[in-house]
Amino acid sequence: MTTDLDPGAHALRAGVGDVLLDVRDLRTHFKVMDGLVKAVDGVSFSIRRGGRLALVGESGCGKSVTALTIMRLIDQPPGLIAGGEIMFNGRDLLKLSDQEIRKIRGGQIAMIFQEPMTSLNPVLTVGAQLTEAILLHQETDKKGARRIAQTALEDVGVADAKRRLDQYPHELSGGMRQRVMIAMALSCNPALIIADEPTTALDVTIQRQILELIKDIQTRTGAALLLITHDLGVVAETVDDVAVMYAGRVVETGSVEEVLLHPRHPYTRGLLESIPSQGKRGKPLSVIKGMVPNPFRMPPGCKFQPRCPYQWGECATGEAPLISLGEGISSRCLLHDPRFRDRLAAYDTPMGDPA
Amino acid sequence: MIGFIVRRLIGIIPTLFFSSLLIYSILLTAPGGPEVRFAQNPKVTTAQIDAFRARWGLDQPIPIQYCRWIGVCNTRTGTKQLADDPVGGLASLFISPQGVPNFLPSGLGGGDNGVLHGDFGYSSTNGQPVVSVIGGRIAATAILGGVALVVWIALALFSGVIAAVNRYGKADTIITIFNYVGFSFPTFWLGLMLILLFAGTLNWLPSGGMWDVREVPIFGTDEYTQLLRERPVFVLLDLARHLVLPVITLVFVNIAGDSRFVRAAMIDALGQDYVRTARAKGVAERRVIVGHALRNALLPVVTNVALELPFLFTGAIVTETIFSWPGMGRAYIEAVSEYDYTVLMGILVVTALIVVLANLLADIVYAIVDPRISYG
Repeated sequence: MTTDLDPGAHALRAGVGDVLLDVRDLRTHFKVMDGLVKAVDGVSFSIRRGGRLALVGESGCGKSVTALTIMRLIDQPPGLIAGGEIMFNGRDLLKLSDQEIRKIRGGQIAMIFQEPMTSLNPVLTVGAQLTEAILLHQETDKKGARRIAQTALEDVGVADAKRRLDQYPHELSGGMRQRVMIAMALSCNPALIIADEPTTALDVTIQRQILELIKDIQTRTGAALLLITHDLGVVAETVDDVAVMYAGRVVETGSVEEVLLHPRHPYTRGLLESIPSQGKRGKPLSVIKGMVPNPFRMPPGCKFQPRCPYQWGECATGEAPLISLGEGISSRCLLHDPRFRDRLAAYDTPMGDPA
Repeated sequence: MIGFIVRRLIGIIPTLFFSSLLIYSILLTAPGGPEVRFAQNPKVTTAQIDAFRARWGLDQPIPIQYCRWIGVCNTRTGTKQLADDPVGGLASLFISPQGVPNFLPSGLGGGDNGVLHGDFGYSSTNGQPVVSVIGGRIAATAILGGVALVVWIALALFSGVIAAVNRYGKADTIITIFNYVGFSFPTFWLGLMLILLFAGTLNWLPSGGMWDVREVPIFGTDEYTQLLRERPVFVLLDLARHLVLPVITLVFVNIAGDSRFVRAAMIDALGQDYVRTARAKGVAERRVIVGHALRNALLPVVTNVALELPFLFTGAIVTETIFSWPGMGRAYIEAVSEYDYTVLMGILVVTALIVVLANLLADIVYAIVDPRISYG
């Protein structure tokens, strides 16, 4: 295992040339009544052209805020993009004018939201909402836009697409609405699709269909996919690479096999151990003890330290950088600091291979 | 939809019946009656008052008075006539002179008296038919109320949207302060101050009335219509000059409610997921606000405005009184102070009808603007 101590290390298995989206040290803060919430505080990751990355973490870890920041959809105020870079196709999205970012939104980066029930405008027809985006980003007239919209609906498996165009969202089921959202996202041939918990609000049976559809669309169009989820099962089926977030930071990155089968960070390990499974039947379910830290009283050292079963004195004062372990794998844990090699040996032994 | 409207229209009948009963009983419980206006007059004898009561049918039992006013009973009085009647007894009260039930339309042989037949009786002070008293006033009120309503709804929409978009910002604070000040102003004081300043000190605008009495004939008369046809600009300008102060008063006092309502509806809409979706599509901010958020925020606003429509006909009592505007509000006050019971009841029943119809209209409009609502 190679270990180097490079704070800026974030490169997944991506060569420099084919990186589509490169987020570097992103910081999004919110000024609220009680003080400053650092919802995203130094997030770095990158996605290859056509690549698939999942941003995983529990509620409030900053994964959705990261996605909204990429789209520049954070309300400012109370939001504040305090620092970092979002390089997309070689341009920093944070430096674009409002008009330039509007061309990217919906055109080159499309977003699918969590709540299909409320994400569509209830007083506009499906067709009106689909063609609005098409007319904004493509050189076509109303008739052409309607044709493109109909094709997009057919592409996402909506039966009777022509009739659906004239229907209102309330006439469609939840799964159907999410298909409309996906059609909206793919209608302008984006280079990147951001899917923010696209299946969370759906029926379990529909979840799989929608996930398959997103994967299918992604492979067919060659768009890159940034999937935001808290569901590790979804991650295993859908993406190539994973970035695990905790308290506004990326704490671990790696390929989906590496992260799920050989988790490096104690938080990821805790997450995986807390998934119920056949093999653990009869044993008490292991949990991550304690609570997500209060955003106003973040621990001074490692943000996971108060809940970490492997923590020692050093963790309370010093926070590790994202330590690159080669092959796109990295971990934000002092255990992977070469100074504490002895401890790492002890950490690796009792747990072994979860596989 | 049509089935719904028909059902609602049928439902209006009992509502109006009970409101007419309520209006009748409230006026009965009030002390005095139409004859009270003679009480202070030493020249009017008791015999004359009794004759007045008999002439107006006030000596009849109260249920019969109501029955005749509403138009179910005929207007014949005196035991002799009742005895002569072929049907005989009390039942003959409900039979029209043509021998069919009195409540039927007069075309079918029913009576021609009472509210059911569009006859609200005669003013007990000047003998004019109540219908023409109300008819003469309703146009004046509709002009004042209509102009004020259009102005304040336009301003309320504009200020509400601006306030919502700049929530807690400078513009929002200014609009909020303006709203609360306007809302807290007593109408009579504001009206008097405007008269004092613009009609008194500055002498820019007339202090009251609806037309210049030296130049323009009485509103509603044939002479007025003729002058309007001959010199429309002059007459309309004259009308506009008289409208300015009362409209300012009404707008200033009434804008707060709607402006805050629009603001709240807009803030609610702007926080919805579909607004974020629209932004994520790359829609320009102005279009997000008008095309997506306002389009949704308008749904409750439209209902609210429909419910405010009766104001066009019932008038603003205080404003009309202060600016001597010859509208319904002032007609109402005059009727009250002169014990003109017939006019009073006429105004109240017409008001009840308009309020009920405005409620129906609100429901219908809501179904038109919101695709999620449909009435089976």
